[in-house]
Amino acid sequence: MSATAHNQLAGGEVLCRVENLTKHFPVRRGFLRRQVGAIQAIDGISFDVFAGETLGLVGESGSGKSTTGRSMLQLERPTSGRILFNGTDLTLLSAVGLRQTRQNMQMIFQDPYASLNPRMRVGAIIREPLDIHDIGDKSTRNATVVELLEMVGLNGGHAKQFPHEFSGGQRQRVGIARALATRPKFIVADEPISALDVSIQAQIVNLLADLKDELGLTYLFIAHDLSMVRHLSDRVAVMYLGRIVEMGACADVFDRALHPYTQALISAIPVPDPGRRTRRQETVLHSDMPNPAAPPPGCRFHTRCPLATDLCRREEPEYRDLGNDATSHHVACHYAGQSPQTTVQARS
Amino acid sequence: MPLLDVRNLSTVFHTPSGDVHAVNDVSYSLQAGESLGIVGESGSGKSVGALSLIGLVPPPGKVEHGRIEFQDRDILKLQKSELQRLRGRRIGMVFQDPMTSLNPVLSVGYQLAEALRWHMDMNETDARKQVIETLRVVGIAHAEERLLDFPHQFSGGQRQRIMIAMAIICRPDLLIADEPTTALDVTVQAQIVDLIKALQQEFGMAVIWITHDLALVAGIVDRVAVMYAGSLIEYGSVDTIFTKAAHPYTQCLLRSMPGRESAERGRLYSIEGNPPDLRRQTEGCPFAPRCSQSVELCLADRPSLGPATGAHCVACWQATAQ
Repeated sequence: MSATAHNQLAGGEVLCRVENLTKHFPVRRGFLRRQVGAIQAIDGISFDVFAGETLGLVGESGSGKSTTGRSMLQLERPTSGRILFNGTDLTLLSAVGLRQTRQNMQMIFQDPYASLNPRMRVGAIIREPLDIHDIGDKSTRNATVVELLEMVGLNGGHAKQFPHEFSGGQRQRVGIARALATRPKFIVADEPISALDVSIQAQIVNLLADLKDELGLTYLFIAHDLSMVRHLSDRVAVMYLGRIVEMGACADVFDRALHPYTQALISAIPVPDPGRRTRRQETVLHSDMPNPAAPPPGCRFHTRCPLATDLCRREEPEYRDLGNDATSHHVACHYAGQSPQTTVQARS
Repeated sequence: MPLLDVRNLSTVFHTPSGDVHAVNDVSYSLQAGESLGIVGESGSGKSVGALSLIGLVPPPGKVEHGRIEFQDRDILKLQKSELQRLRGRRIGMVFQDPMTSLNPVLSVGYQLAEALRWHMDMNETDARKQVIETLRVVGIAHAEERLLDFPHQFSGGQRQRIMIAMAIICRPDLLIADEPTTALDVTVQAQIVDLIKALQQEFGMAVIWITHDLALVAGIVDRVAVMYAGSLIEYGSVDTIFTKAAHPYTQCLLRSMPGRESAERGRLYSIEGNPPDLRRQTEGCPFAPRCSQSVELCLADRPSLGPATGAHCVACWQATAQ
């Protein structure tokens, strides 16, 4: 476990606090575009991001993980709830105040082909945040661009080129350089490697790890590739249908997963070992995620849960801490932490 | 006699900025009922190689030379109409993105029945019965009520099941699955993998899995072919590839997978550099510029893959010298 994880476990400083965050997207129908319902992308989640840690956020598509990341940077205005960054509530800030705070929080996007303007030279792309935030004068800005390019493993000569002249991995490096331009403290990386080739993914993951050590960054690492999340993160939060169902230290969540959904996600990771041809069949999920506009009552996972009982269908489980004194391990499941026998008894 | 025998296949795209050698002198064979994983990065030629098998290489691409024998017939010499009778009937194909490979304005039932009417000359009643039965096999609930639904009314995983139903509805002898799970979530990926495995056992089909994910093929194929920059660089049984990989590129791919040594949480092993530009034909081994073990010979002369007869083959001067 890295040194930063130890700091966090010993009660590190909270960099970003999310309180009861809710984001509903209206569903409109008909000629008058009347609102007929709401997609509950995020439904009342709370968590802390500690300074210097990497928090992994995992879940299936539609679970609300990207919306969470975007809401934390106020790229989506939340329906309700608070986002405290260094103690300041971002949801109350004006556009000007928000722009100042955004210097400290940046985003790396999933698709390096779509997130770079094809008509801008790479130098101008990386300089843009400096221009917007009015950092330095013209000559120092250009020097900063060269410095940033070198920091991400490119060189100053690349500044004059256009995005199409670069490979996917190099483009993602440009996206990372742009995110670092304003010297942020907090970076939301939304699936930064899933559009890249396998041999390039490791390069980018290593680069992210190096930059974190060098610049003292804090990451929210959103991904569906659990093995990469396990490699990179100090703590992990698992989302399902707009809620966090389990959260704890990386090793706890991956080795002692308490929620059946987390267990299913982990058992779905392909094992790179031809000897292990069979998967733990009981944890393979068989249906699809329910409609987020009409989430099921009780535990949201009960429609797909192999262990669901009447209690799960009726009552929403409490999000409680089952960790020990040193580390917290939160889970929202009625039967989490009970021995398998008790679970079976409860079912029968 | 193998079901499929590919010899010295080369596919070239003639573009204004030069010839792109997408598939370069690739040979392999597949027995009936066997499963082969073709692993490579984007641009390695794995998809174009598969499209070459069924005569679907998009222009300006062209199969320059080689021989593809499927059930003792040379596919490259077939008339267009003969090829059409083969595709969908004897060879089924599942593509990566189920949204773009289904027709959005036709009902799912119609699209599935089309294959049966076309290839099997089935009447409407029999075709309907067969469509419902096949949808049930691939795990679509209430199949008979969903025949008139359109693709957008299904989820991503269900659409991929429908694609699989379409590919297997005529009971083909060979199923080509080109990254069938890449656009899907891990949980749905696990379902689709299990489904194709089950179908393979039930119908005794041969399956070619095309993927960039070495970990994914580990549990599902008999043999693995690794492609790099249009060339087949290593070929062997799945156990051989995972335990005795001889090509430095395969070794790098295996080492760069996170969690292989799960206790270790240091840096990931990464291959420096980028895949080569396929417009430039090099004399030497295509991996040599990125290879840590390369010597002069590697840059000067291209190593060849031994005859692919089921044994472990590797295209590397260093590996064959040892």
